[in-house]
Amino acid sequence: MSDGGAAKQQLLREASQEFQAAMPARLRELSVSLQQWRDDGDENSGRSLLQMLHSIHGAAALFGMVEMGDVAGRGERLVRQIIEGRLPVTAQAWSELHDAVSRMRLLL
Amino acid sequence: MPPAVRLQQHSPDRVLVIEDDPSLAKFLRQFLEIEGFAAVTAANRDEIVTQLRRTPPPDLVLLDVMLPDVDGFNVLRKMREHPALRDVPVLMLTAKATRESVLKGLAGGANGYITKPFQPENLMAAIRTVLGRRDSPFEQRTGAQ
Repeated sequence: MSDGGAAKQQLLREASQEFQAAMPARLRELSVSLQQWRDDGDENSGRSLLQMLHSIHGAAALFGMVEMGDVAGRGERLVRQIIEGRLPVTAQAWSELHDAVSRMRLLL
Repeated sequence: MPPAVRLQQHSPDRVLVIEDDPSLAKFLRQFLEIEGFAAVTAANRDEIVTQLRRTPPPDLVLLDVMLPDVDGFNVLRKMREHPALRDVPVLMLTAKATRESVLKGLAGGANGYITKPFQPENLMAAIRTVLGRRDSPFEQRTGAQ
């Protein structure tokens, strides 16, 4: 492997460790936003939730957490559908979102 | 003239990474630097405006579609309306791999589209293609294969 290749592998390892170390705090924020959105109907909380899920979905696989990214992606689609009015806000929808966050916590 | 000497006469291409995820933005900046680019990041509207007002403009922009306080498609539209920025190549980064969003980006003047999650080497290949380069500057400098 060239020096550049080794440097890139080292960078990816360090970035993955950093990303994974930050995940517990991210999931706590996710839970808070989900709770606020459900309890208060606060649209900003919904958008924050969407943004957080989008970020995790986009980065997790690169940093070695493929299943985490998949779960975040499913949550992102669900939240987007609700925000855009394409999915009714039902107990089942909230349950699926809570399940997604729980699943992500288990994957840590 | 050896490649190393030839390269010293040129400034590295400057890449603006517009990405709100701090881990991903940092990784991309450092990865680009290993590849021989000069990279800066912007995570929100204010930082984007600050970076795009600098002269000369970046040689390439990596643009995340979904940002906290601004839509990436709007950033692209503003760039294409601006005389100093309209020719700057833009690669869109997104997890929204729908046909509609791809067409929207390309119709808005994006030069390419990378769907997250991506492999860094694929992103670099797209960057080099857009910039019309065959090899990474690092490999040119070291002669590594």
